[in-house]
Amino acid sequence: MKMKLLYTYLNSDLTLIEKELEESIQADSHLLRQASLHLLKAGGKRIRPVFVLLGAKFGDYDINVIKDVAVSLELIHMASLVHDDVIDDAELRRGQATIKAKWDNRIAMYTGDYIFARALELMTEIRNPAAHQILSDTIVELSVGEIEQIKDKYNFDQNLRNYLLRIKRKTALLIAASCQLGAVAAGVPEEDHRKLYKFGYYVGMSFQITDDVLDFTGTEKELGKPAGGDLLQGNITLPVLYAMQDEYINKRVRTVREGMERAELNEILKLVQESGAIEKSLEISDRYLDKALAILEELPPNKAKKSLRDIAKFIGKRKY
Amino acid sequence: MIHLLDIQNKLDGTRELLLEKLSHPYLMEHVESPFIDDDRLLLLTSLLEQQEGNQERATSYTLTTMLLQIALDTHEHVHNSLPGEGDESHKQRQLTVLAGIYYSGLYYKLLADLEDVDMIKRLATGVKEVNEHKISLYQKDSGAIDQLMESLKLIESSLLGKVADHYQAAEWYEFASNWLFVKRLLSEETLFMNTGHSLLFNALKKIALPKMDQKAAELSSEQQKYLLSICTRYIEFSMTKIKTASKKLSGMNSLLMERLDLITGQYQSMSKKFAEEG
Repeated sequence: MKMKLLYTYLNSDLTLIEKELEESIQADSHLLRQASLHLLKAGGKRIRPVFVLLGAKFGDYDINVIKDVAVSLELIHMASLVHDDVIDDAELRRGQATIKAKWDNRIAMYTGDYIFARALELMTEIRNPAAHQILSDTIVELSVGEIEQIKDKYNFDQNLRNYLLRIKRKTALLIAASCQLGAVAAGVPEEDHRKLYKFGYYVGMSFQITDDVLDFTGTEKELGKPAGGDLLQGNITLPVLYAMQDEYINKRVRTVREGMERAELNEILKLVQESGAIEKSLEISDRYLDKALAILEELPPNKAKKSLRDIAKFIGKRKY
Repeated sequence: MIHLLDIQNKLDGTRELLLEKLSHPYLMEHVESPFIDDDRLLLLTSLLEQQEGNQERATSYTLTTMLLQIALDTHEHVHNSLPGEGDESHKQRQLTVLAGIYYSGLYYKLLADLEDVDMIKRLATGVKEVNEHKISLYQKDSGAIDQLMESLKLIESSLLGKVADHYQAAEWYEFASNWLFVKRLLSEETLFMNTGHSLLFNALKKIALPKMDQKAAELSSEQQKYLLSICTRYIEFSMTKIKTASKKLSGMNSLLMERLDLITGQYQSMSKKFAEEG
């Protein structure tokens, strides 16, 4: 089943958001338009806009107001992808050439900065200062998280706490903010929009752990890139941390370095896959999902609540 | 006229606050210290000193605009990867990208905490403009010299222009934008004379010498002189504009006049150098 089927009643609003996304990046510069569109057309799950819309469903839902938040958050995510591709020196994203590969790093930086500014400009359509405080805190934390990620690269002595804090900043906070900001823009009472934030946070944590597991279990076709890329880049994720509890695997993992031979890497990937670490990681992911579902129960019943529940469950079971 | 010591104290105080905001232990360890353009800081401080009655707000606007400018300038240092480059230079590039993102996040946070949605919007629009013109300059898109020079001017002055717009201080914008433009032109000239290349001169070459093979590494001395003379004309014209605008400004302070004299001196010594070198 496709995730989209869990919220078909949002289809017309999501189509509008897709159109708004395209319009929002109509820069004067031809190349800037081309680069931004290239990224937009590469697709994506649009999970953040979905969470914004669903969060707003707990208040006075007006798509003409909410769309600015939804588009803005997707643009922030897109800008971060453009910058991340420069950071990772990535040639491909979702099976397509990255902006930095198709043009160069300079163009990618200008495009990323442009898209980010466009996102904030659009977000200012929301006049409520609380929305900006939430989003600005999130953005600062996101960048701190990425700096921490670089700091922790090839650091085989990091612990579970490091990892959880990193994925919180890297992924969970933006999903949490998406759920909360949709609600804030729709005038949902503070008590409830805080619950939506927590829901998003737990789902985001679960989502990232699943993503980190998929890097070991997914095929190249499913992932759009070769498996084990995270480890090769020195990103020590939950499956690796669990697998490293075994002394032999610990020693082997510590030999991972930039540009190592694929065959040697594959041996280590296999050791991680067969160590039981995948199952343990998925258990943690499930625990976050349970927390998400529990907090959801405290929110008033509506159609969106059901969709959020279904999405949370779907994320836990996704294969790619 | 505002006393030199007062404005100097304000500048020092803002500079210190700025350094505090910019200090991130890991970034400080691995990337070049962010460059604080003292002239830009002086222009912003002087503009806000005259236009904004609330001192706290004036300092916040100066800080946030400087943070954003530094964020954009930091991203100018992200170069293309080179085959066989070392781990440290790769890491430095990665952290340079992140430093720029972090600084621009701080701009947003500072204004969000001030609940100043209008200024968030103005400055975001400024960043958009700057990046549009940066792409145009980098891609050598301009079809005319005036258009190219306008792009360069906007790259340097869009953010400050948005603050000036907020106070409807058109005369300040005229003064400051030409100042920043002249500074950039002088630095492009220096770079071109020292290395034979610069973003501006590469784009200028395409427009002013259209028949020339654009990939040719060397320009003849006549061609170099011709390009430099175009640049000099724009500097002279902008210097005149600065002088005219400065007479209309009521908020001129002695530090601004001192700095202006220095830039005039720099320009004159550059002109002399051209003349001597023939």
